[in-house]
Amino acid sequence: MQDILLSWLRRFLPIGTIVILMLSAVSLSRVSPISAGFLPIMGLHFWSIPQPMLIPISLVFILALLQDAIFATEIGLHPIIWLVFYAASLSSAFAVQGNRVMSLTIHYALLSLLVPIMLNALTLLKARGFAGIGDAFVGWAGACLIYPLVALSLKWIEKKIR
Amino acid sequence: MRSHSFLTPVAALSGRSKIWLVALILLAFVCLFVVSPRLQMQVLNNGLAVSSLARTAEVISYPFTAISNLVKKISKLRRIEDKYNLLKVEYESLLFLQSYAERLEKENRLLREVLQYRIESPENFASRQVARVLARARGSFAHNVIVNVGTEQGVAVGSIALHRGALLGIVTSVGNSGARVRLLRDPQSRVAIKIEGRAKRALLAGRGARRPLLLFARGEERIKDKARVVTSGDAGVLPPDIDIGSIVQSGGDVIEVELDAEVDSIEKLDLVSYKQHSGDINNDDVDSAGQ
Repeated sequence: MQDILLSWLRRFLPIGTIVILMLSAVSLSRVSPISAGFLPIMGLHFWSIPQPMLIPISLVFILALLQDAIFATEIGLHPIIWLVFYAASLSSAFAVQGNRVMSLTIHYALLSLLVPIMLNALTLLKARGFAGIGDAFVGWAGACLIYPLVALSLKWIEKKIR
Repeated sequence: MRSHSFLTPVAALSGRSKIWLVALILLAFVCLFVVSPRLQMQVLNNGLAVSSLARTAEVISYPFTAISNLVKKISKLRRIEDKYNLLKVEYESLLFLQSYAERLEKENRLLREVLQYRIESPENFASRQVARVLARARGSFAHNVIVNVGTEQGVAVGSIALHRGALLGIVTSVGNSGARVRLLRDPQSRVAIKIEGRAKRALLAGRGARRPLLLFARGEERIKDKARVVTSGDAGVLPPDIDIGSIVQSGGDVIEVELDAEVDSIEKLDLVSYKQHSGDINNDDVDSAGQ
């Protein structure tokens, strides 16, 4: 029974942590609204590199839609960003040397640059205006600083369950 | 399931998954650019969704709120600690000042004893009673009030009636639970007074009118209008320096005094028994004051 439970927990851990990070972003949004948007992407990045099969693409899409609902952004904005980020993350996973937090952070920092770029590009296409380029990059910088903490926490949880 | 290798190959996704990925990205584009903003707003502002989201956010945010409150409390405690330290320093300083003031007070008292200078303060009053005016007599021949306190409350003949610190009259007769106060306006009232801050002394005599007269003003000095009049304390009937009123020069030799106490509308007054000074001086105190 315990084995089954642990097996289920291992299976749903990536999705579960992404959901928790997404909901935590609601609280964090009171402090730093832009960095908060990066929080679930951190989970997506952390898990997509070692265990891409545990994060189905359809679930990424659904979670991104949920993110749209939470932050009341236009539907479809986050799914595009998340899916492109996910694809980019998988495609460049070879660059991560082991599961060291440092290499993961650098990888995340480079990849997550896509987020403010895409956010502004999509906003430009949709509303003929920018979403605040400076703000988006400040959010990116804040997220890069938070990432090691998130990665360490997730690693700790993973170790406990394994 | 694939092994949990951290070196996932680029082609980790199967061909089907890649198609899915592209399809979903396209779907997202359709949602973003094709679906009307109105429909989007309807979906986003769905009441059930919003309330569920709010509830979930509340639950999730609980630990964050708790941490935030804890941080606030800690910073508040630090501020309190800073204030406490500041107050501690001020308290030490105040303690020093208090001891200094006590020393000065003692020295002042001893010097007064040496100079035989007396200042009236509440400690010179043996008892103090608040009395209610029960009846009043007013006319050319009598100005007095009857109050509801008597010997049972410690009032005696000679007790002083004050109103807001100003002299009103003197108790002339007293019963168990009542007393008669002769007001300063009464024709029989005579009070030794002095002009405040000067050596000028006189007698304040009631005459049944609103303003008592100043009689036997001694000294060469001319009495100025609106000069303050206080009890002189001569003869020891009344304590010195109790406010009475101010001088009103009405022309000629007649000098009247406008009383401070509101005699006409008075409802309550203070009755105090005056504790006479013995005049004894402690030799030790004199010695220490001299030093």
